Amino acid sequence: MAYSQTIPQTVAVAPGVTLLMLPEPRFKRARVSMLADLPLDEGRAARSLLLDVLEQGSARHPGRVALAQAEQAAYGARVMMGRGSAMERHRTRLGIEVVGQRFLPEGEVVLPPALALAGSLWQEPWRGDQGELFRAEIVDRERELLLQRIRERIDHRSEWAEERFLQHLCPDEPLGLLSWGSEEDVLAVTMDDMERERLRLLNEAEVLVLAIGPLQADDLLPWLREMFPGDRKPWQPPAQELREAGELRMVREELDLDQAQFHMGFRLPPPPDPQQRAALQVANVIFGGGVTGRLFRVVREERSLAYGIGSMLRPRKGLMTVAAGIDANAADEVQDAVLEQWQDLVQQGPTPEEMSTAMVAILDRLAAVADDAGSLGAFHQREFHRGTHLTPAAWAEHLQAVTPEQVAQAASLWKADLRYLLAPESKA
Amino acid sequence: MKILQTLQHPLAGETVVLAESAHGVRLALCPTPGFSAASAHFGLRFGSADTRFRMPDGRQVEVPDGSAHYLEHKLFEGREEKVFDRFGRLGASFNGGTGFHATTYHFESSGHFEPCLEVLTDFVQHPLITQERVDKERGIIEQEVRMYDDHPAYRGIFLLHQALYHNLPIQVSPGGRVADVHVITAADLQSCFDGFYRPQDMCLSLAGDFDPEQVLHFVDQHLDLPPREVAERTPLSEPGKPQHAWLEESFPVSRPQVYIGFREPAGVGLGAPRMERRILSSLILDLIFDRSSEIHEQLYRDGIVDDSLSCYWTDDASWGHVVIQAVHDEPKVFVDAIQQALTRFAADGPSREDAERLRRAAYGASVSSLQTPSALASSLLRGMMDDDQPFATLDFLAQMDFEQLSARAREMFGEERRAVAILQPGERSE
Repeated sequence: MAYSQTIPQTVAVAPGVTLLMLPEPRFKRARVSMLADLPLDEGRAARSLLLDVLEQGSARHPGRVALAQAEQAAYGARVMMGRGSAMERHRTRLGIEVVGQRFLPEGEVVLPPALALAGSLWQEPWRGDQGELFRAEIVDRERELLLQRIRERIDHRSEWAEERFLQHLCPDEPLGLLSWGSEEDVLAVTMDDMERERLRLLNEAEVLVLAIGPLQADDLLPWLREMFPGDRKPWQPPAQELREAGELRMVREELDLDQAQFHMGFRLPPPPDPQQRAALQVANVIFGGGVTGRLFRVVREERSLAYGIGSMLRPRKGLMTVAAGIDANAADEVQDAVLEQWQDLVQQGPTPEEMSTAMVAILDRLAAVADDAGSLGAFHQREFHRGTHLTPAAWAEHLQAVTPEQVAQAASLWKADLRYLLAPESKA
Repeated sequence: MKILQTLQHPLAGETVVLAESAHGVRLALCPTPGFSAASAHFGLRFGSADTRFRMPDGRQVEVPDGSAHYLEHKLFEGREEKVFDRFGRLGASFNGGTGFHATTYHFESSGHFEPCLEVLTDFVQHPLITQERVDKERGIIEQEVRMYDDHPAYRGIFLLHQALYHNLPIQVSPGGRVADVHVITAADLQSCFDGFYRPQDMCLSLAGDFDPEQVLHFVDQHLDLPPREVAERTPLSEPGKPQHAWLEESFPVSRPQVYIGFREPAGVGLGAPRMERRILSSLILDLIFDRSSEIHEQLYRDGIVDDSLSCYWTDDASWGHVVIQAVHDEPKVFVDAIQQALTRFAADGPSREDAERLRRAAYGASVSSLQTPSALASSLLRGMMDDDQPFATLDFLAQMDFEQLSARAREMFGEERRAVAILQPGERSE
């Protein structure tokens, strides 16, 4: 198998703003993703409401209709904004996608108008008629809609269970916070707060721009330099706060639902180097990564207790989590299976077949990373934020060097911290 | 193996080889030089709606709802070894899916394309279905069904299907109900397989950096299921208008969820008529409900719709309907306002300028979606199963006629073909 050896072109656009360029003429669509990070534990409610308000129009495109029509006229260009948490950071996204030039009729261009549209959203807000920072009727309406979305989270049972699980797992850590902010936070946001956060996105956020597909750095640099001033003072993310697990905690909550949602959280020390990170990834795949993992094999295939079960790593945060939809009565049996498989992995290590199956699965997906702009972007984004800047080919070498002993060692560092169960309401 | 056609498609920027195996399986291959992964998608027109049929030997069969989906699960068990393990050793990503009228299986692999292709062609042709194996899977499928049962949107859509249709089996989700899962037997699944998994009804699409002739030769050696007569579906009569104009159910949601459907009196079969109707219907919904529409903007400003609104067209050969869904505190107010907007739109008709802008956007989105080998193979499979030419959507969008769009706009939203389903906040209905 061949792995991408392409090193992204890195351009320092302004202090705290980096462009990673991966020109790729094979792709039919050009994709630009801007990730702007600020602290998760302050300002997130104002930024959440700000994004909803900015999506309603800019000075250049006043109104949703004008914005959407401009996208459509550019052959379905897409300009997307979003927010969420990434470890202990609050991440605001601005994404642009346009169809490649070779698929357009002669004389048509779509990237410049799409960039102008996206830039106007952050740089040129649609101000009020009397000079207000934003249009009051829009702020009121979007605030109410955001509050409704916050209140309706509970209707989506599996997402609700995951949110509650993280709140219990990380009760006094930023990761346990809702990335939208609470109802109280959103109600308290003022227009001044929103304008302050807009300026922070432009002047203080740590910004990574990933550009992949049929486009070149020169297509983007003038636009980026106009957006981000050369004298900006970027936020310095604090060192990651880590916790250790004590005794295994048990939390059970009830709701009107049909299927119980089972979660377990393990704490672990973040791997200090790529080789230990590779061992941790292999350990996770063997334990609960997909249909070849132990959890799927034992809990689903052998005991028929779940349709899906799997584990997920947040290595920089020092977390490994397990999730499954089950019958509530089977929660103890599933927990026992999870703990047994983990202990067996630590004590006996992986079998040769498990090592080979995990390795071939990881390497197969790694080879395919180069086929898709989304996967390629996600790979290089993670490498950038870790500060390791590996290519897929270099990462493959670390993976291929992992031994069974390293896998067992990686699993031995996990500490079970919490079992959370969202169960159907008990009948009186 | 017969190569039927080699097609250069400039709009998609792809070349497609169409072929047919010695036993009648239809194939489409798309070489993608420079891509690492290769993908194969296999499918046949047999789905959850096919519950009553006459076997080639004359036997009349009725199987429980959910049988096609259960069979898909059992095929993954393999004959001698689980497909999970076989694909797992090869590092492939794979999955299957059961819809109302089709079942599909696919994989993607970077390093072991031909061995994976061997696994795929083997397990879809040579299952071993025993009662013990069927019983073993019951708990897993029950959990899958229960997982969907907790999704309000899933429940709402099937309540809408119950309102829209009298007899069509699409009123039940492809997985069936938990009670159905409890009674499905090995004999049911064997009848489904024997009746419908026949080469002349099968399609296989492949995309990747390969030599098409070499792959065709390989495939021909592995597609060995002999051609036999396919079971005959028992026809269902379906009146042309909805069964219920308004249907409500309680469900644990914070606010009422509203689902409006407008159904067609009948289907238009497969092929170009269906593809054209699908594209035209989707464009009309965008003309009304996309953020670029003044109608949508007015509804948004009036507080009738918010970002919970979504709408789409869905169909098959024998049915088709629009779905408009949203969360709203006063369902009656919402439904009346939507109906007024639709009536006004149908009377005024679309504007040429708006239609042209949306046509461009749809074209750009369609081209962009044909990116990875897996996306290409998926598109080619859908085309074969729907009796469309490869990438027919792009061809139609490139030459779409505004008058067709106007005519479709006038016929879509008759109030007599409307049904409404509501999930009201409350305890789950039994």
